[in-house]
Amino acid sequence: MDLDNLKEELKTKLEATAQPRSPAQLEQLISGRSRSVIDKLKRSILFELLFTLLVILAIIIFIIASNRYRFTGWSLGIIAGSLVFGIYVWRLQQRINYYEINAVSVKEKLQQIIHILQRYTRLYFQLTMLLLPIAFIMGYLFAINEKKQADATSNFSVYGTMFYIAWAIVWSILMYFFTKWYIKKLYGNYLQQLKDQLKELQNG
Amino acid sequence: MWPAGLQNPAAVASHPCTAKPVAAGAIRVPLSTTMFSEKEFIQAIETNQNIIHKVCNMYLDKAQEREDLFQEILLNAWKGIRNFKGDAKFSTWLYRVALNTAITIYRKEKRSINTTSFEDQLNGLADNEYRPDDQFNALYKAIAELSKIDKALVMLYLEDYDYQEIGDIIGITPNNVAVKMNRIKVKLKENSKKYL
Repeated sequence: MDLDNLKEELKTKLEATAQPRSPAQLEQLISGRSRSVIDKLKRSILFELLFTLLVILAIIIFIIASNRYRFTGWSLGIIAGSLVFGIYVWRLQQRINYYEINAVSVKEKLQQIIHILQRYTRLYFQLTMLLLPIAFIMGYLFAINEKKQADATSNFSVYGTMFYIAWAIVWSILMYFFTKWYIKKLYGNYLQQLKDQLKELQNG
Repeated sequence: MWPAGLQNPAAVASHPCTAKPVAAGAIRVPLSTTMFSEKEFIQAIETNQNIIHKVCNMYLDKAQEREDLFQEILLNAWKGIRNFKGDAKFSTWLYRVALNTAITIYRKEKRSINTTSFEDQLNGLADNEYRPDDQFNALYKAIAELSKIDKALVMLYLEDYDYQEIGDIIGITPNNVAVKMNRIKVKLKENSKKYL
């Protein structure tokens, strides 16, 4: 007995388990919230966009309120970086929305989701790695500035600076592994599943 | 684009106001997306909901998981309906959405071949007129062992789609579908022997 012999039976039985939904139930279901990975990613992007906007506002308020114009260059740099990041993730969001509404083939859908996840995880990793040295340098300069404001002749000792650099290196190494692990935990296994499925389709 | 004064006959025939009664699964929907209201969408889904149920049953064992997948498919269909051009049957479009969702949904634990669940399912669906025989049981278990992609192929094959249509939905050539189907049939034959 093979698939063809039991074709009709299988078809009927798969259908027979169904509990038909009423229009009211269907209506209720479409007003619900999706729990797919892509929808979670969309919510993350939205959060990041809002956060970016808040960072820009906070920096502007900080410059104006504190009168610390010595940091204006840095602040403008951060604002520019935040804007670039914001535009990038906004475009990614647009791309996801575009992909979502198109009923493409299974193969194309797999390629689309893989593309989105790879772009997002790469961005997330690169951004974390880029922000680390910027944060350390800014922290160092800020500390020097604070110290000099208290005492103009004061400066960091060589040991203090070396300790700070060593601490920054250790922290960076830890963050490198942590970020890799975290991204894999969030999307890595899913991405691998999708890649395996795509490979299965491509291998004929 | 249809010349001025002429209307796309498919759109006229498929409009809820002018459409003739059609068999379940063969419903056509308006071509213009602006014409597709929530009510019309619900109506089309109600007529074709067996497609979603079949896909859920094919991919998942547990009732709660099937419920979640049903909703996910419905939400994706609702999002995508704006872009449905009406150049294919609604049922084919819905299969596309349903299979895409079922294949790309992420579940942490792999599906286990749960004999109890399978028997419950059979008993639940066939209380009076159906008694599962060993061969059917064995084949069903063998299908449960297939990959998500192979399940999609089996699903469409059971629905009598030809290889060209299956290829369009899956994204591979008809020849490739034929090759895969032959392999699946052999695999099912071999694997179902384990359960006999």
